[in-house]
Amino acid sequence: MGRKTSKSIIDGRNISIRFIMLLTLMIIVILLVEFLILQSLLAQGENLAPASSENIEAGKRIYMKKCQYCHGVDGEGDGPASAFLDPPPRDLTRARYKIISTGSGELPTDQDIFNVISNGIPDTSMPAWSSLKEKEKWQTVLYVKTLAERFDWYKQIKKVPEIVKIANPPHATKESIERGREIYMKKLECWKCHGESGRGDGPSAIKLTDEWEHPIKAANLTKPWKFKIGSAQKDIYRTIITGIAGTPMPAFLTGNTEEELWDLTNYVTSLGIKNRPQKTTVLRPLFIPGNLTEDLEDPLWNGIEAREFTLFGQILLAPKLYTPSINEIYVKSIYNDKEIAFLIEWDDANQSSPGTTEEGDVIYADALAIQFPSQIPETPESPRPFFLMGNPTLPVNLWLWNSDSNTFMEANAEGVNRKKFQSEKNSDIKGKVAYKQGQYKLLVKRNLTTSDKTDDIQMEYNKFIPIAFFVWDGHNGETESKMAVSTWHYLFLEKKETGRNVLYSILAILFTIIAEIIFVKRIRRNAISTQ
Amino acid sequence: MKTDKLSQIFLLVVAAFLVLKYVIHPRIPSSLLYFYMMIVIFAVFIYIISDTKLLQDFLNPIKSIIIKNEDPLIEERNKEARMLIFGLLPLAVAVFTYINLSVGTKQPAELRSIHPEPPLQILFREKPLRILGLKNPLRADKKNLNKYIEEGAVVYFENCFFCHGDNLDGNGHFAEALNPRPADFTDPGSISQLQESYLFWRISKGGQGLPAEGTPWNSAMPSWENVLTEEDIWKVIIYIYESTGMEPRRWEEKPLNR
Repeated sequence: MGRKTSKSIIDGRNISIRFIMLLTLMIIVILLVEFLILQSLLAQGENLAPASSENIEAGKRIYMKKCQYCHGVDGEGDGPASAFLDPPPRDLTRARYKIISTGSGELPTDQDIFNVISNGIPDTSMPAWSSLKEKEKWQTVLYVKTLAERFDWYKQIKKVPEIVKIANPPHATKESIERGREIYMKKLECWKCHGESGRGDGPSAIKLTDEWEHPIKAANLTKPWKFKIGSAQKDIYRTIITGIAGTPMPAFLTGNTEEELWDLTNYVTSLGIKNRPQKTTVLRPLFIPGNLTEDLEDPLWNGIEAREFTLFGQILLAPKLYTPSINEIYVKSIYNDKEIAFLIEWDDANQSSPGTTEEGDVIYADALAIQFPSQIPETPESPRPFFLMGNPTLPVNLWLWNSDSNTFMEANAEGVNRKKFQSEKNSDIKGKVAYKQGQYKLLVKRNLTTSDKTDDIQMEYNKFIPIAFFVWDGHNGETESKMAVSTWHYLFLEKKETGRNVLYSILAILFTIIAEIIFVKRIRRNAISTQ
Repeated sequence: MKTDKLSQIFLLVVAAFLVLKYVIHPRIPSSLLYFYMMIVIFAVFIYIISDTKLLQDFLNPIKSIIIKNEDPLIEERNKEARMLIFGLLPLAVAVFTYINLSVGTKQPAELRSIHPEPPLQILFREKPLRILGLKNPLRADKKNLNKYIEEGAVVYFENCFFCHGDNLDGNGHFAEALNPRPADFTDPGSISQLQESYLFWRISKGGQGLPAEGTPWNSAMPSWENVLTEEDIWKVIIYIYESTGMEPRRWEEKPLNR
């Protein structure tokens, strides 16, 4: 390839300008596409599929491919997956929908059904159906409506469910929230189900069932991101005035003034956790120069950011737990030269002590375990124990607490059914637990190193130490391998090595200066020699 | 618009960085971003040295600052620029070094191989099964394919969808809690790159059956060989391909005879 031929075409400057223009164009196109996708997601789109028999047929085909495995062939909520889900899939034959814009016990609008298919429902296994196109979703809406006779009947009597009109929310003043609290505690007694702090732990919550006799939990009002009905003020207000069809949540429209209902809305909103703890793969305890507190309520904890660890049901080994009741825990941690302490908080609507209920259901102890490998893997890539309580070649060290004996114990395990407790005199952990208004607070503390170097994890600085958590809710039939688990995360105790870092930085300066001198000298010499 | 080559190239690299960092979804992991940027810089470098004139254009602004200028006024200005650049550069390098040395907040890179080499043979419930060249036996029975898809779907929704999701995109309701996330079967880099026997191996042996390349063995994928029958597994494999519209990779026409 001669330079002559290419020169006319590839004029250096032109090509790079063209290149930059092309790049800018690409950015614009990508942004535009993203914008359009977002638009289509937000669009209160018009129904793309009129109620023709072809569209209903198409909807049926989609339903049989995508929906029936949970909602059942006939829509009765009895598909093959339904046995493993809590809350159970909706029985579509009764047309009792939770997430609606219409009045109490009314039929949903088409848009309501469409929205649920598009967005899914938080804290359930109803996903956002990203694999369906807009039109397909509308076709599914049409078919789903044929599953319940009520839709037909409404059509015959020409009744159109009315959308509930909600005025703009008033400002949530302190006074309004305080008045809302009065209503929550006294007038309407919301606390009886939702609990004094809103964690769904009220005295009446335990025996709630829905229209289908399925047990149902009172919503935990401190976690608004899990609200199925949405967490905007208007969503909460609508739910208060219309109730939720098919559930024990009543409609409170009558007997209350609009102001009272907004006050209550504001109070419910105020119960939500202000800053939802962030998830993390690396838990970094805070270094505390002095002694580590042993007080659960020490104000020091307020200044430490909690981290969320998400849990899932142990469905790897039988007996399995498909529907864990505790889906996340919040962890704070501190350390000093000698010790490390964890403060773990989790919501559990019932404090369990082993026994049986009046109905004959077995109740187990509530419990929690922190898991470490018995030995820190050399590098993050080195093999580590199986996250589910280890394996014979790579055992784990467990720090356990249960509500039965209310003691802290250490154990080692080489698998779920191969757990051995350490003798009491070998135990190096100590801790405290408190249960209050639907929430556990657990503090556990240990020396960074112990005398038992083979069985106990020896904490080291500046190392990625695998850490995992297990939680059992005794009221949910959880015991032994029926538990909520996390996968491995990391614990990282930082020790600043300022001296070493400064040395390397100085070296970096020196090398750069040498490189600069060589560079400048060469260019100058070349310039002279070419002159 | 008359800018010199040097600033053009600089702008180009910055633009590439911005595109890679902010425009592309899902976000590129930082380690990969460094790698891509290295490729970009390397490509730009090759582009510059591919043409002598281009190289001169590129170097001229640098030279004009470094080489002593006869005009004392310009030389005065150049001197200031030189001091500034050559003084700040080592400082910047030092700060960069220091920040990178102080312990990062990131998760350490786990250089696990996503699709490690499968074994030639596995023991499925103590029965030897040769993975190499193994085909899905149910595919031969074309008459009943629809029935198998249907039954495979039931297997999927009773066992798999909790993690891998209704949409088969790895977004089941347990997925949030998993690290690494469950496999996304709709990803073109996933099942369409693999033979069905590979899926059979991964499904039956799970995370614990991963070879050494798969360390640190974080996968929460259960081993299904004691839960599902051989036929169940082949059925669910058919369902996964059918439902995502993917085609399994085929074995070479003439399988290796060893």
